[in-house]
Amino acid sequence: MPEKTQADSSLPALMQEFCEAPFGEHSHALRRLMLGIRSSPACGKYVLVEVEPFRRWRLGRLRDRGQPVELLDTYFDDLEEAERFVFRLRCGDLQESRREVGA
Amino acid sequence: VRLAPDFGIVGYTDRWAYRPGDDVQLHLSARVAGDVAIRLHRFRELISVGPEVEIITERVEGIDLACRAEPQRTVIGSWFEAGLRDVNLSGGFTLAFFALATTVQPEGNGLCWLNAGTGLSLIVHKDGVLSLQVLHEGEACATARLSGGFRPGEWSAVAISYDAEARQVDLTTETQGRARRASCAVPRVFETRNATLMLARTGCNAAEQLPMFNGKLESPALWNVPLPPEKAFARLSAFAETGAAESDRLVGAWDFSRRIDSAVAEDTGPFGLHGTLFNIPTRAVKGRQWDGNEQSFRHAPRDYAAIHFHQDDLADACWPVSARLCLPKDLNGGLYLIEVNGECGCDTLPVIVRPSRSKTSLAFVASTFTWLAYANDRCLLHGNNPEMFGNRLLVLTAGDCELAAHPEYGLSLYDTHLDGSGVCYAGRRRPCLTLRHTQRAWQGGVGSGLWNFSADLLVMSWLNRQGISYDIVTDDDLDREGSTALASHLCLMTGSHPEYHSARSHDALAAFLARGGRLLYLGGNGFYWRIATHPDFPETIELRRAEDGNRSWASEPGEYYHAFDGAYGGLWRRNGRPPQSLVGVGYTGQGFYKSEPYRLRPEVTDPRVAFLFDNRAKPGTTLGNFGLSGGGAAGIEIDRADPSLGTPDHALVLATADQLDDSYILANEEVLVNRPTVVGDMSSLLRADLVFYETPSGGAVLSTGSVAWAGSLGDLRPDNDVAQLTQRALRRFLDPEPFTMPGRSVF
Repeated sequence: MPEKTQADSSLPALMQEFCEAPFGEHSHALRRLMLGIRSSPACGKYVLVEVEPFRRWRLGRLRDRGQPVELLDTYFDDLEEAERFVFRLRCGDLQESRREVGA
Repeated sequence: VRLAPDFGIVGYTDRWAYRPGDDVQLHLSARVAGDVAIRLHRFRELISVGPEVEIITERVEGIDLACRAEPQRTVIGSWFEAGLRDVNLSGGFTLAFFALATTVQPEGNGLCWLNAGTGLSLIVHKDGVLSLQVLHEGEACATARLSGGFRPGEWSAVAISYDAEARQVDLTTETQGRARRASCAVPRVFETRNATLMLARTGCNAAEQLPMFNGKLESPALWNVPLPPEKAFARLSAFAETGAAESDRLVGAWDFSRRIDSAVAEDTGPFGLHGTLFNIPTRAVKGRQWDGNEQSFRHAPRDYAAIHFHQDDLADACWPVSARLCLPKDLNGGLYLIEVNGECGCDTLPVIVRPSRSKTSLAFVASTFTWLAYANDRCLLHGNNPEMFGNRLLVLTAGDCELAAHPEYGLSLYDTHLDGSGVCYAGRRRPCLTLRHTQRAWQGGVGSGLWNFSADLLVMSWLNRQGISYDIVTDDDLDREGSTALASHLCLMTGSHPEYHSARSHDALAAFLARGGRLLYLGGNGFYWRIATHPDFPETIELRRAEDGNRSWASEPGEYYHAFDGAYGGLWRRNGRPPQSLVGVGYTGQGFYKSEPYRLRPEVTDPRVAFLFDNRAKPGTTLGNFGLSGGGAAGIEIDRADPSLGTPDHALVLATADQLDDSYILANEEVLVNRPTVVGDMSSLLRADLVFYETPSGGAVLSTGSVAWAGSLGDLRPDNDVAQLTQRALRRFLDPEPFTMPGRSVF
């Protein structure tokens, strides 16, 4: 299938590409970013918890083995919006960690 | 979704399949004690309603029950227990064994318990610390503490010696030739004649109980005399090496290399004080003497005289029976749902009913081994990979959240134990929360998320919608009865994912085909892993993730052979039975995001398959460009034809899906050297093949090679070409007219 190219692989550009189409065909640079983000350890990972199946979801975070899922006070009626929200959260964390490394 | 569990009440049944007239034992636990109403529903359909799914059932009248459900406690973790009847320990004793600790909890893990009026409790703590408590009426009255008694991951010899005259108990360990010792006074004598010895746990009740031991134990032996440590260790080493314990004052010597296929720990001593193993710790594991020269316990029993215990082993939750639902003798065969509804919540338990006498020539083979292998799959809760594989955020169902909060419901064959070792055993006598019609998972792809049991409901739903009569025969039936379970059937249909099979269930399918049976394999990644069953372990299977294959964990080197039957475990392909040799296609890769349509190949114009397409098939056109599992009929876990692996030469590859996105990855058994061409459309091996062939005995096979096929079959659109093809195949497969082998090779 045709490869989507992304000339600007800066984080803001990739954020914009993802938010335009969270379930779309992504550029190579964005795919690599997402593979890295999504491979992070389970503990602390953002997840969605069904409130009403297929209709409404709540943001949550996985805890350690044997611990109930942490439920956060953010709700979504749309999976794409949930993807965008979590992606922005994660990119914020990413920028923060890059700043720390830079410092 | 109707009848959706909220798990305020959670239950399990003693089996998953019954006959009319059988009693279904219901084991229930409620968050708060209360009354419960029990109703039976016949499953009809799981249907898509817009982006959602809904269930259609019929109430079975006249057998409603009411009962009381109480909160239940589940004892999780495996242990050894032996009753020392008529053994007098009051003069002194020495208990010795080898131990290798893996993961230790902050509060410590129980290692040994000897209840002889006065009790002894040995606990392993972090950093190799051991503590030996002397207890009277449940209260610790003396403690010996030993620092550096263990080293993580290393074998140690352990001896506990009680001297009645000195009223002292000594704890000694020896690790890598270095001995350490601690002692304490014993204020009361061990006076009882009927002691109980437990290993890998402490205490008999909740208050006394720490998490069970994580690690291996080997060659426990008990002598009715206090021995100095050097003598105790000499006797212990001799027993471990030869299997014969010093007989002087011997009470019991439990040789874990014997009867590995059982839950018995055989005592080789004079009194036959055989121990029992609870919750199936892992046997056929390497002991301290294993040096790599032999790989099977059958060849070198002394090398396998160890047992690996885990604090999260669970074979049987042992909840009391809350109610018995008597299935009417005239109940039709099919899938039923037991609704359990009380003041504090509800659960819905599926059960299969196989008719007393078959009246139809079609059987749906329920993948009860695969459903069990995935039961309580916690990979999304513990693993790093699921979100990456799924290419989207993980969505947790009520069942997933319940599992996260209840580790005591046990693990799946996809999980690892707390100490990182793989889970080899899965049993049904516990809450199996993934066996629900509401099950949805990341593996199901975008869309409905139906997966495994719930995706298989789509196949049964389609049959029910068509008004086609069928029996449900389970993997367990095939394992227990062989091909006689299929004696009255002309055609079999599988679900979406018949991945796990025992030698007997595999043999039964092969024998069915050899006598002219017809098989519609409507799934992917089928007939992949070899598992074992055993009469001593009802409703339980064993798996070794040996050598090769897509694995969420890997068996340790030297631990590739089943304990249950001694057979070499792992992939059927590595056991000389590639799936292609049974059904024409075999696993080639997976992706858990989007599915694709097949594209018809020129072979569809072959007159041999005219019955499938009504002579209207055009090569190059798509098949299944829709569906509830990723949006296409080809995807999730996919299979390909391969003559080198057993696809018959005359098989017709009717359609292929090979334009896959990069979330699809080639199976690692196909990869000798890692390379970046194992994804998407870069590998010619990474494709789903739709294959048809006739068998020499007048039968035939149609294999779709795709888990997502069921998702398209379940799509209610009127022009569903997947459903049409399935229907035409089934119509012909149910026609007794024999198929004729072609006179030429066309592959």
